[in-house]
Amino acid sequence: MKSVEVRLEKLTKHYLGQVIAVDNVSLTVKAGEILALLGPSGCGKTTCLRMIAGLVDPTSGEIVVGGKPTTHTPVHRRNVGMLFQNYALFPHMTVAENVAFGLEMRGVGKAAREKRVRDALDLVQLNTFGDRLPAQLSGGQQQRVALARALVIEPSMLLLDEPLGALDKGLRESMQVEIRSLQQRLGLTTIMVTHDQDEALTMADQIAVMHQGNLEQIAPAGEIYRKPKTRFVAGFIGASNFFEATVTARNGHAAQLAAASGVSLQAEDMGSVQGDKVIVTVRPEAVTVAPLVGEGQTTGANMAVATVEQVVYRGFMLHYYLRLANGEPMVAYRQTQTEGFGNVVSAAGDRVLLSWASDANHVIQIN
Amino acid sequence: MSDFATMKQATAPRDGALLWKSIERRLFSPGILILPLAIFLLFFFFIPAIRLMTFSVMTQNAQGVIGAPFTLAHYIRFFEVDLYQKVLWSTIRISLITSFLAAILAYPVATVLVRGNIALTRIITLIVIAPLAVSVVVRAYGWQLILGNGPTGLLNYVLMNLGIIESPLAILFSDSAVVIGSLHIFFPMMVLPLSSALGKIDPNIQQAARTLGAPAWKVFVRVTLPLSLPGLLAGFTLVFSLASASYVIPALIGGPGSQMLGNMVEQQVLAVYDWPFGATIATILVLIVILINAISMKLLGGRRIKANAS
Ligand SMILES: Nc1ncnc2c1ncn2[C@@H]1O[C@H](COP(=O)(O)OP(=O)(O)OP(=O)(O)O)[C@@H](O)[C@H]1O
Ligand SMILES: [Mg+2]
Repeated sequence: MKSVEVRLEKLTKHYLGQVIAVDNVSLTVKAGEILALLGPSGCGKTTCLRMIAGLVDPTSGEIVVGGKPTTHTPVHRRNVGMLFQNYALFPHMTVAENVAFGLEMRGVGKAAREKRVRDALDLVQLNTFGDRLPAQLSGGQQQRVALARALVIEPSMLLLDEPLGALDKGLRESMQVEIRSLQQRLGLTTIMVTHDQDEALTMADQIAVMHQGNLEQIAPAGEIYRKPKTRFVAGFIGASNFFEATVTARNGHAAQLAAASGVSLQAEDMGSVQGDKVIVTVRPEAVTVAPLVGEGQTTGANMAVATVEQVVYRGFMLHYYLRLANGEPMVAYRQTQTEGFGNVVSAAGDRVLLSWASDANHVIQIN
Repeated sequence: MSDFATMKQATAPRDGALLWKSIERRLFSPGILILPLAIFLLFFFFIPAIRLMTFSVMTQNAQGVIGAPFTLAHYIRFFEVDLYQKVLWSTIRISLITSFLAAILAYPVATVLVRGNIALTRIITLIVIAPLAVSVVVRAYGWQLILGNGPTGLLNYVLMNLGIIESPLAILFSDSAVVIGSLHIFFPMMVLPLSSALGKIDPNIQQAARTLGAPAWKVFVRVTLPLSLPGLLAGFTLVFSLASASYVIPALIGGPGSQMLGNMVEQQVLAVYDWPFGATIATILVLIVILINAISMKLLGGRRIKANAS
């Protein structure tokens, strides 16, 4: 299968009645990569994917597949493989007939068709299920049939709209790995929609975070977690502590900042951030929690005194819900093991000293 | 003593509630709920219908009394006389054409009903349902005005003034007029079951077919049509049954060649006073309708068996 690059250029969709579902989205999915469109409900992910499939007409913008504009190509000539959230198998056809459908539409002869259907069902380990009807399969099996049906036509790209949303957690995770490894084996350019950040982090090479129709940030999975560009992304991908802060001194890449909550911060890398008013985010797992020795204990940069409101055991992690002197909330995640299984664990009501390394401070520009 | 009194007080209302529960359960059991309708149908439908059918195998003497001996002579007569054969086939032909046309016209309408926006859906429902509020007789006279064969018939008048035709069409008092009239009257019976069936199809399934390379017409043939078959068959059966039993429409806007079995029953009973032969025709009409219903059930049943197989 030849991999192709998929490019969206200023893709926009206005639904009747002024709803701007997708607003000026431009992005590129490299050949053979998985891009995850991630965002909260209603942010325009499905609309975006359906425009790429050709099921929704864009208001403006271009869709370029393998260098060719395909914005106005009818759906049935786009050669996309699409997986729907509710599988959308043909209920009146057997598994084999479902998988054969796309080949039939392409005029593939009976013998060749049967062989390719068999191969496709082998690929998803359902070779003995050809004669069954979709209603006689479990959810996971149905989605594998849908996958076989989409792959058998050797599509130029694979589009997945929350394909695992209806499956239980365990099955979802194994299907994530299965789809990921199939996709890599076939080198198939893939765009998937999800509102589950874990799914995006597990499966995708690149993550595009959308918010109210806009593309907030597109970056590799690790980078989007470590270096969120906007406050929305920082809050959406994993949890974050936020400080509204003012830059008091700059020293090359590094800077001193004063947070509105009274905490003073030392950032190592300001990146390309301009201006004095910024937001500093700190991941909860970077914050250490220590008992307060004396009330008058001096605090330096990247330190804060807080009151523990709640401690929640999450298996190997402890979640501390804290409150600063000025009333702002903070969260800290500690590994149960490093906290010594309870002997120095702080309890609700305790006064504690929070601290974190200066490279944990990530600075976001305020527009 | 006082213990006993309180106990009794405590249990009495509960017993009452239990008693009421069991009365309620019996009162609202399915058997009781359909009883009034069952009694009504027994006296006003089943008994008269069976009586009429038994007439068809009895003899009417010179005094007009119907009774023994039992005979199949009326049925033999029906199938031996050309006129009756002609009427039988024109009934079947007109009903089939009406049902087919209704099905073809109903698909787009039902699709819009199901997939269109709410305002459009309401307007179309109104247009489709509205004719039901007007008596068949009134509508038949309406069609007489519209289809009138002279140059003053509304349709001819419009077409001639638009220069589309030169001499007036002769639609009124023909098979076509009966088909048009029946179509108008029975169209809702096709649209309603069909749109209910189409509404049950997940639009993602049709879209999946499109992404797999099926152009719109193939999506219809391979996906929409088979999945809406229950609605289509229900509508087809309804329209066929109702159209084949028409009486007013062929009488008022049909020609001599488009008289249907219903009109013949009327002639036999009211003009010729031949009750047994009228009953024979009526029975044959009922058998045709039962046959069509059986065929459609068989088609649906076959599908269900396939769905449950393996
Ligand atoms: N057919 C439509 N007509 C009008 N508005 C629509 C239509 N489809 C979607 N919208 C609107 O467009 C916006 C984006 O919808 P979309 O389905 O793309 O969101 P999403 O990101 O996929 O959300 P979810 O995670 O809930 O599936 C929403 O505000 C939605 O109400
Ligand atoms: Mg969606």
